[in-house]
Amino acid sequence: MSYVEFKDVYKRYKMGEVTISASDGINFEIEKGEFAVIVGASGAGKTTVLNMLGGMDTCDEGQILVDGKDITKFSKKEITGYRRRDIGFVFQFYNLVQNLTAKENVELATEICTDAIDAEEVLKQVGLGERINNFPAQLSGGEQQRVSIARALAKSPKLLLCDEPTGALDYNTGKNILKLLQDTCREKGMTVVVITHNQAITPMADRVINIKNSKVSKVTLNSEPVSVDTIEW
Amino acid sequence: MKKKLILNTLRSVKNTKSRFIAIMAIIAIGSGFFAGVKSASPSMKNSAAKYLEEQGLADFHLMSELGFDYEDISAVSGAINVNELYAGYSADLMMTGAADSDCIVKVYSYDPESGINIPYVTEGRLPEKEGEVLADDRFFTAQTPQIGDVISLRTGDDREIDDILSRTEYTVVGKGLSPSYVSFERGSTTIGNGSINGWLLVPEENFSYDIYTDLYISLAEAEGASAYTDEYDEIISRTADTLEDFADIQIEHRKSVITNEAYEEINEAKAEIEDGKQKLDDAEKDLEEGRQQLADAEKDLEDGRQQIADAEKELADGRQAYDDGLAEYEENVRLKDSLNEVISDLDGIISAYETESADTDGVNAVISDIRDSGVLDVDETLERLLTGYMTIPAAYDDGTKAACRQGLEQYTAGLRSQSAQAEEGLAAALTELDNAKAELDSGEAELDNARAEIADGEAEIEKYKKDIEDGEAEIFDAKKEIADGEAEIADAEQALHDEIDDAKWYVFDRDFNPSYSNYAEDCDRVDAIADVFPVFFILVAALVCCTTMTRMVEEQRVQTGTLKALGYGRYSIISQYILYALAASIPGTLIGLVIGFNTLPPVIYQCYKTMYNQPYLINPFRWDYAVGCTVVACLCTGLSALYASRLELVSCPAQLMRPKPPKNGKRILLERVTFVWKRLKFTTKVTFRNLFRYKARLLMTVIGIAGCTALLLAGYGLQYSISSIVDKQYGEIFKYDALVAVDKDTGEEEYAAVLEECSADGIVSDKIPVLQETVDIMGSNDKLETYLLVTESPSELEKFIDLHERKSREKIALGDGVVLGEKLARLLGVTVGDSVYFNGDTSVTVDAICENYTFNYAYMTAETYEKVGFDEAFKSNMIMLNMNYVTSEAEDALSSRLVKMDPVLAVSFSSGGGEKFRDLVSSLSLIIVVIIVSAGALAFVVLFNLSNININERVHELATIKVLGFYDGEVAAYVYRENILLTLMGTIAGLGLGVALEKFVIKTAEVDSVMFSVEIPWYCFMEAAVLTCIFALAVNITLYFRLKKIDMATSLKAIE
Repeated sequence: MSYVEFKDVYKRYKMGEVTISASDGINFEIEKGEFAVIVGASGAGKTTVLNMLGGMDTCDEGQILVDGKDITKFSKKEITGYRRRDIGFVFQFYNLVQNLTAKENVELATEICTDAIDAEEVLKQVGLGERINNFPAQLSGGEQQRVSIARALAKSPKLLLCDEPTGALDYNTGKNILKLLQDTCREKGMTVVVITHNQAITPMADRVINIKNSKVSKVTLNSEPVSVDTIEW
Repeated sequence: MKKKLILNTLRSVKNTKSRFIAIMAIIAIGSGFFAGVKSASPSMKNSAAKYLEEQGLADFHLMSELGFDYEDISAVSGAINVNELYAGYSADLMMTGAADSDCIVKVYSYDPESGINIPYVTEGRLPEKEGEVLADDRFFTAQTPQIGDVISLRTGDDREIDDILSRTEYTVVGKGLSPSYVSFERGSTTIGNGSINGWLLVPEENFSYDIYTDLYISLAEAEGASAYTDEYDEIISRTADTLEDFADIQIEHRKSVITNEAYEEINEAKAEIEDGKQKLDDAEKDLEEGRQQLADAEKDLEDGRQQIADAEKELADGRQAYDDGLAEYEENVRLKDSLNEVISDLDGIISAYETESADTDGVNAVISDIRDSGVLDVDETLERLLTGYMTIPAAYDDGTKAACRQGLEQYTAGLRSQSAQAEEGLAAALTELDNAKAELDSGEAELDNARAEIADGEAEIEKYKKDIEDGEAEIFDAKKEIADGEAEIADAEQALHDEIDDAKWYVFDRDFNPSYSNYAEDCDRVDAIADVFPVFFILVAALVCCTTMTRMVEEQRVQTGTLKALGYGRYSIISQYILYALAASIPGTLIGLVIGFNTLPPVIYQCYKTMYNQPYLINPFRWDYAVGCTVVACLCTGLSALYASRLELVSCPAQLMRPKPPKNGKRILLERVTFVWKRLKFTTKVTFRNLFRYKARLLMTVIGIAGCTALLLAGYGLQYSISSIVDKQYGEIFKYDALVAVDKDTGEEEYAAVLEECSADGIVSDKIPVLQETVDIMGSNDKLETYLLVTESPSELEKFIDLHERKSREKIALGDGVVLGEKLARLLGVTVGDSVYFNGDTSVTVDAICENYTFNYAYMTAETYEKVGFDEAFKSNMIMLNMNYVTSEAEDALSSRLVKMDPVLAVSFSSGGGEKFRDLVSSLSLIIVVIIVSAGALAFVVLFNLSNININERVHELATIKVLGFYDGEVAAYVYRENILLTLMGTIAGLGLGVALEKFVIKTAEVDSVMFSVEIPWYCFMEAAVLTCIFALAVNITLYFRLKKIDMATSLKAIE
């Protein structure tokens, strides 16, 4: 059994009279330690998948298995606990608390987590050893995203979910972030799921899941994923 | 403005319901409270003005000790521009109602034709015929007369009731309010215990005065000028001057009339006395004559008596003579008889001689017989003859014998003639004697007559004497009468001077009626409160609006940029916000105004209704306030919208469309105190950072909450201040259980009987007679009316009234000076050691100032009382009682026993004593409830709104931490910690502010007769703080659901 499994997952939104399916029978699997990229055009339904996988939204039908547990059966409290322990989330806009320093932003996550990695250490790991006491406003976009990643990693989650992690970054910085994510995957054996509309980065993934019209159109397995450095777009 | 923009604005209203409603609510509360409280004062004033105008409250009330006659009335009408004038009567009398207790009433005459001082009938009807009476609806006593009751009136002093009223019994046909009594105060008088309990209105015909006692004037100029307006005051003060000058002149008229009348009477009396004197002189002359006559008569009588005595003597002599004569006659008769016997003897002898022989013995016997008879001496001749005759024997017949015989015969013949002669003499003597006897008898009768005459004379003299004595007594009386009469005339003259010299016209305009002006002052007090509280509300509302609008503009930043990019002008964009602001504030103001206008003035009016006899409230919708409020509200929201959008409007569209850089995090001051900061928990650190990150909002929230707490504390504090004074006054200071009002003119014995009766059945444990009067007291700056309580035994008084200093709670003993209640001292502007004046003249030192809350009291000993220029000696008119057990049965038993006694006017109990005041207090509490409810509503809205903004602003952050796996509770706590801290800060600031606010309100709201306690007890602080916290909690609970609903997906979106 795979580490992450979507089985016939449906998600429908009612907009007045019309029912829109954001997920229309999604099926895919991700193995432990894989660098998976979920790719699709804007509005294809990839964020819905992310939301459901991250425990931020529920599905209407189907099973979502993470490490053998069906998270669709989780209670509200359990699902919060799931987010808390098992999921590390990296946002497109970093979502740092402006009022907290880099270190404190990481601590915001570790504070509620039992076996967290020390904030300073994890910040060093993402290359921000010098800037741990800076406020987000004093950091560049890339640096902020690194803080965001550190915050996610500090909990040692089962899954690192990244929503367009480069979306708000310039090309080079974006590349650096992707590199960081890939390295984390490789070095720590962390299962990383990156959501993006950017087809160009798919070669670096172990598994590429294409989403189109709320359905999985294609799943590609890369036996030889390339390094980020070699990719250009 | 373009249609689509309007549409957009309206849609945004729909989409931001809670914000829109919050602005509306805050505006509604602010404007409603402001308009409501602010309009209360003018509404009350206008209602009073209308009421007073409809009832025709006189503009001027003239009184004079000398009364008014027709000339005065027409003179007044000439002096000023009179619209209507009513001349009537009034008198202070004692009333005995249905329940046997007495009270003091002011009785006025009522003329249905008059349009001045028309009573406002609340029940029943006006008096229509003699013997009917309209009674005060607000009697200041437990026994208010009811319709159908028969009441009787008496003077209560030495006036004759007949001089005042034509009848003493009246039937109550109605109850009403009098425009001249604006408040519950009924004034003071000189009879009874000095305080008037109520008024009565009897038909004018029932008064028997021949001179009017009161003139009521309604001024033509004042027609149409509303009471309590400057215009009215100006007209009145102008006319008052004229009227006062005129009064000083016109008083001379009555003075001269009265002087003339009095002198007419005095002169008549003087003439009468002259007559009396003349008569007295005559009588004295008569009496003198009588005395002379009496003396003459007595002399005559004495003469008569002398004559009688002489006559008696003469008569006695006569009788003696007669008796002597009678004895002589009888002797002579006896002699004659003896002579005859001798003769017959001799005859015998002679004859015997012829025949018989001589018998010497016989002869000797004869001779001795003759000798014995004493008729005649047996002379020698006879002896010889006899002897010779006898001794010559017959034979011997010699001539001798014959001679002897012859001799004898001759002798006998001689004797015979002698006898005959005697016989003759005797007869004559007898006649003479008889004559003498008759004469004597007539003399006797005459004497008797004379005696009777004398007795008559004596009786007559007695009578004369008595007459004279009577006459003398009469003259004495007459002299006394004349002296009395003269004294009376002197007195009358003195009295006339006393009456006339100081007499003047008293010109009272409405301001002399203390309750009339107090009403305005109380209205102004409400107005003053209206200036503080509602301004507070408006301020908070403005602050909240400003924050909310700012937030809203910020939220719509991108939209603004877009619109700008599309080519909309800045005014179009501004007008969107202004439209939104107006859309919220106009209906908000309207809702607030409608509620405020309709609830607050009636509530405040209700509170004052217990003190003032204003029967109705005219509470119109006030367009001026409404417009003002709306303008202020619109400006408030509109300007804050403008202020909030000022930055956005100058920025270029591109700038706007980029997300606004989040407010930078900053180190806060606390972090510099590393040893503290290090010790803080991470979450606490976050809280502090966040707190100080948005300083404006922090300030606003703190101000908002502080405002609410302050309002609540002021509200609770006021409630305590007002309500506690009853318990303090009637529990801690006045310890007596009952008061017995006694007629001041009660005799000592009767009074003692009342005292005795008080403790007759063991209900009463202690009693003390005191004197309580309403007097004028003058201090350094003011003259006031106060109760004066006088006791003979200050040490005993302690059991009934606890006189003590408020702060130190030190006991006060009554000494030579006077002890004043705290408020009284403050109003008079005196402190311990200063002097105060009673009735003008003698000064008294203020010994101490005692704790006192309701009404004003001054205390002194009987010695001081008599020293300080009260005209009379101390005489108790009230008995204070302490009871062994206070139950309503015991009270009923006691009062029913006492009230039956003649001198007892009324019995009242402390258990009901504070009642009147409690009513007043409970009604004032209504205002407090209004404040508390409004403050609560305000607190809720403020907190909700600010917290709402807080959440809106941080929704992204909150969604993020949710994603990070914070439980709902943790997310809430993340926000609440800040709210709680803000609430605490606000509450603490509010408590401080509340104390100041309460002090201010008490200072403005306090009335003269009451001192509110200034301290706020700890539980009021607790209440205010806890209530604020409860509001905060309620807000937080509501927010919890909002927090729960925050969609985590928001975290994925770009920051707005």
